[in-house]
Amino acid sequence: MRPTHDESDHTLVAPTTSRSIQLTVNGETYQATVPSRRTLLDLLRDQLALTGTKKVCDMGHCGACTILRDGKAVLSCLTLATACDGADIRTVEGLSAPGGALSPLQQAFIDADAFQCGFCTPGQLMSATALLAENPTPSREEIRAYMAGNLCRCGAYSGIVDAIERASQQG
Amino acid sequence: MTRVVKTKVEIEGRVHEETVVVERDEPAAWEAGREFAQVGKSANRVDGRDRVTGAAHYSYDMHPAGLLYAAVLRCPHPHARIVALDTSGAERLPGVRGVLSKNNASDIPWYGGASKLFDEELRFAGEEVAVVAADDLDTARDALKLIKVEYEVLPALVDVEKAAAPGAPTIHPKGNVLVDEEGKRGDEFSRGDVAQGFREADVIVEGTYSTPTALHNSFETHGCVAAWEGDEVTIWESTQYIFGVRGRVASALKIPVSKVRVISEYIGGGFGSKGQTLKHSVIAPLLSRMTGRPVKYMLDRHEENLLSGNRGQTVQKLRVGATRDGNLVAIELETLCNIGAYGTWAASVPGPAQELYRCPNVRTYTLGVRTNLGSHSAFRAPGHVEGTFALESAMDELCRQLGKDPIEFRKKNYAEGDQVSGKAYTSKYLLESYDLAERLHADAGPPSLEGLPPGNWRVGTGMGSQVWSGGGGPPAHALVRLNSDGTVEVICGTQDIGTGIRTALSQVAAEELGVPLDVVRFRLGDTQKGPFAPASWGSITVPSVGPAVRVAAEDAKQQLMEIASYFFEVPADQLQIKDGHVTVEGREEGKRSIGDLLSEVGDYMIVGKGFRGPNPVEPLRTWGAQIADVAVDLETGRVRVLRVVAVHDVGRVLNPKGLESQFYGGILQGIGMTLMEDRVVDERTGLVLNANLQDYKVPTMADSPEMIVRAVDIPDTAANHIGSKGAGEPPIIPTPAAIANAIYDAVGVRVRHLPVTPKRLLETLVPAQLPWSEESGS
Amino acid sequence: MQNFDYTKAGTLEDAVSAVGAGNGAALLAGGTDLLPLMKDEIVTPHRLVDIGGLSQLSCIEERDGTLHIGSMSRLSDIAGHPLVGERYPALAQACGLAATPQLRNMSTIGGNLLQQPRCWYYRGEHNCWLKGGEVCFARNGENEQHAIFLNSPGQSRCVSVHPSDPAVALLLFDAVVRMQTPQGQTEAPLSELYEVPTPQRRNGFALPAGAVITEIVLGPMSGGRSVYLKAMPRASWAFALVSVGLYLRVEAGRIEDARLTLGGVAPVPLRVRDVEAQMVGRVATSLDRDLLAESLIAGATPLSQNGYKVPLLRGLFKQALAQLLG
Repeated sequence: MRPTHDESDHTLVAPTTSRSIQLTVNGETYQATVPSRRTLLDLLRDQLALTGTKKVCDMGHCGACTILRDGKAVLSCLTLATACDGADIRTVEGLSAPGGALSPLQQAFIDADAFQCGFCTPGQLMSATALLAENPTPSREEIRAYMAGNLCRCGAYSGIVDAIERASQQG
Repeated sequence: MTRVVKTKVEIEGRVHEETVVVERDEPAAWEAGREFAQVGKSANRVDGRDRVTGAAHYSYDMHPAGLLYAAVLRCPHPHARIVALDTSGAERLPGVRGVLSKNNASDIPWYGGASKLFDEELRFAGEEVAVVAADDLDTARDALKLIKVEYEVLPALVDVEKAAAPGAPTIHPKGNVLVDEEGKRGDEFSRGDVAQGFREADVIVEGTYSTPTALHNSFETHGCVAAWEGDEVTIWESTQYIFGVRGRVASALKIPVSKVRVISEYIGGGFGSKGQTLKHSVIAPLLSRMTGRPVKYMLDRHEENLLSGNRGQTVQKLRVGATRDGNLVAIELETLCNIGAYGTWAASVPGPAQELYRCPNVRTYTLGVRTNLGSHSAFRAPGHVEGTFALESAMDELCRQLGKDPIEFRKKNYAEGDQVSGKAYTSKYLLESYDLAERLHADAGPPSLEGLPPGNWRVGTGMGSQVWSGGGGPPAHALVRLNSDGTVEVICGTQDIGTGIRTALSQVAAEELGVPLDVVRFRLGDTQKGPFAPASWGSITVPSVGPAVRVAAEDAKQQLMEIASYFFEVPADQLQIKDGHVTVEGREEGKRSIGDLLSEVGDYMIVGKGFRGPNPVEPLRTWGAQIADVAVDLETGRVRVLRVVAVHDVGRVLNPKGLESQFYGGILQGIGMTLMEDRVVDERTGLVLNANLQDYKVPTMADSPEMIVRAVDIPDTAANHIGSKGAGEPPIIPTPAAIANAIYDAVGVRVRHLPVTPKRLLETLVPAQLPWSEESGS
Repeated sequence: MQNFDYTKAGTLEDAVSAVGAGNGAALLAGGTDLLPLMKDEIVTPHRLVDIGGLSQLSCIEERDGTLHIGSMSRLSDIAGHPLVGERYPALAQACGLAATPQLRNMSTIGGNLLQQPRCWYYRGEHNCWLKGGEVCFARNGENEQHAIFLNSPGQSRCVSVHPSDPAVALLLFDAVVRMQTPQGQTEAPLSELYEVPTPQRRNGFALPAGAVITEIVLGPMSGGRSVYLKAMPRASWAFALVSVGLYLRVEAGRIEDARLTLGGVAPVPLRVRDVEAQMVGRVATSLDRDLLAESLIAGATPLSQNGYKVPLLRGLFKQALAQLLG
């Protein structure tokens, strides 16, 4: 994706092939027309205005764009939007109602100061949500292993482990 | 009474004079031992809810109607000249709304005049050739392929030693190395007589140490969204310095600063790299003006890692001499710093050698060297992390040779005052840091080996200490508004880059005002609203902005009391405020809330003004000590940090919870730099090979050790009237040295080159068995 | 990313005929390797055929003592499958140590086995030999992650290493790859899937044209124990610097069967039959581990910067032995 050609005689591939898809995001049904090369991440952020999910590497390296697809933690930057026709997606915006009570995990993140800049936080929360759904009482080692795909450059890991542990004890 | 004074301000080892406005007398410093209602109490982030719900809007998230997306054609060569550039193909592509390049952009000087916004000569791979704005990012990127460029490839230098060598091709108009005002190469410092010092030494440790080029990898990349309304432009920018961006954009576009509004409400990390204004901040407004539509210009991860700054590689030749009874007698340090293509300063690598220990004979020489790579920038305690790694490694080696205890040896060489200026420090609690760190480490018992993969693990312990600035200073201003509904707004042009400034400084305002924390709303990151505050770097925000917030709150409180005095029918100085309610001093009954009082006077809004007063003449430093426990697998060269104990003297702690997070983060980044972070460049092609988060390794959660962190927490009442020093940078500084020394303790090899990867460690551990291995250098 | 046509395959036959027809069509399974390659325009298919809906390809089941793993099984499903954990622990470990939890939730075993090298020249701007250029930049460049076996110019023009963890474990278990091709069903031992890239076929896979991998079949490995160890540059989330798969069947104190496989050291995952042969028939407790380890590394031909992989391999092999034999 990084054109650094000295000269280019590229001819562009056929006009955009778009299709209409329908998917559920945080319980709401959305219809969207998406070009085949659009990722789920870009669909969420640029078309559905759900900007809680963050773009950090866009290459599957960092975990910041983690969402739940049919309950599984996956990377929205490596998921084609067009392949999500009929999918059930959950993002950070769906963890609690706007203005409503926070989920125990969200509250635990605040209480444990489990973030600094907060840019990786939505992805951390989604992975942690998946973890607690699969394993309601993980050990600290299990937390560290499960969360290793969510990088945090500020180094808030210690608080994140604490937060997940606290939330698991409450849940 | 408003007056103007001159005062010296030190930021990251560089001192400059500021001429600043002092609005009135400053309040007396909060004395040691004072009882607080808010300050010093652990508080949750005031913006926590926004951060855990996705409601925190970062610049990357801004999406004004009609938004265009920018993509950039970048130079594929480390050094080249554009011979021909044809952007017409891109301009013709449907969906493309504007293309900016040297063909149509006006000449805007950049890099201190060494280059232009769009220059013909490009000095690193990744430098901007043309920028396309289109309806969506894919189209913008498609368009880049339709731009035709012919380059003349020029000689390139990416190796710092080769670039500094005599006879090297010149790659920058001002030469390959930094010179001082008189044209002398490098920066020299000397006290005493080093040659004589080494003659007096019984033991001398000597070696070449190197530290890698480390990439910040802030999770939100650099970038902005720019939109014009009439002749005013708004820029949502991911920056550590909104006023810096405002000034740079205004001068580039030749418009008044008041026509440029820079907003940065939430920032996804910066770590020093976002203190500068990069080209995108000017290009996005230009493209927006050209197209009549808002433009989003965010770097992608690859671009971020090529050009947004880095901690430049250092090569340090260090010699340290001590007498048999353990007194340092000479330190000599010669450093090469890779400052990249357009660097104009060298990091303060020699700072620790000059100041950390008592030593009569010191000579340092630092040479900033330009290379055909992205320019360096500040990166969390620039220079001191690198310099401390070398110095504290050598100190450890001296301890071993002299048979001294590491902490005793350091205490023996404790520097009472500043040997550079000859003055006393405003405060220094390094001895307390040593003692507390040692005690916490002892109390913690042996570190846990749980979670280590199978291996032949050896455990070791090492330590390091640190000195750093972090005093900040003026100018910094703030407003505090008391609204007739009883809420409080602090308005200030500072930034919260993730450090928790909103929370800590809300605590300061709540403390001074006598209100609960939850009525305070801290509004920052908007040049149009907040009075000036400095860049969020150099660990200066708390000590610079904190006092201004306190003064503004004090001013607002005084006004409130004067208003309340009418209703209570007693003089203002007989009133008190607690928990947001005013009463006559000494009484509980008859209390009235702020909202209650203000709504009786025509919905009056109180506006308090605050400023940061001049600095004391004494130098201000933060101090600290860290002890690391590591495990090293002898057979595979893997290193795991098991535990880090960190104690720092950062003055008064405002929010212990937030401070701990800062300490954790600094330690983690220190671990990354020590064990895995290293920008790799192919010397033949001059291209960076690992400008991504896969090949450039940062620590994962599984790399995060147990951390025991503490502040000495003694206020520095000479520093400023809130008694706090900065805390963001200190915890990274001694981390690499402590780990390297622990590795030595574990397996008996001295690693002088970071990062300590399995490769480096195995080459050092088993060189005899590896005839083909590289020279390990130790 | 270049534009492309997207189709969802309704049946396996659809998928086979779509990729078999050429036209620059590529299969989309988990997408965790394909999408990054497409974003960097290292591969530029004109058409993606999404086989994500072919649920019959994601079964893991036992039939007649053999384990059948559908090619669309996710690494996380394999890592957590009780039968895999019980009989093929090295495979469970390899899948569990690969990538990150999210990537393991997405990545399919079929795609994992066919992933492209992680060489930073190949993945970056350099027009290297593997991408169709003239030069392997790593050979005399930044090659610390590269091959220490099969890396001479006569053996391989490309010195990258194959990155799959599961492949190294699967080689221990006589894994057979079943495929659907336009000509019908076919199968081949996994070991034959990997070939050092040649000028005629630079991608390193000996896969029939238009083939779609449908399942991996593992032999019945009764009685033995296995382990997969992986050395990484950080505690988690990295490709192997070196990895070792080891399977030993010890009966009455004697090693009856031994399999040793290596990752991160050659352009293809390696099975080391000569070292296996030195173990078979020996009394487990009197195995000369140092001698075996020396024999293992004897043929290594490190490049300018990867000599460390030799002691690393030696150490990791000894740790694998220690895991199985104490």
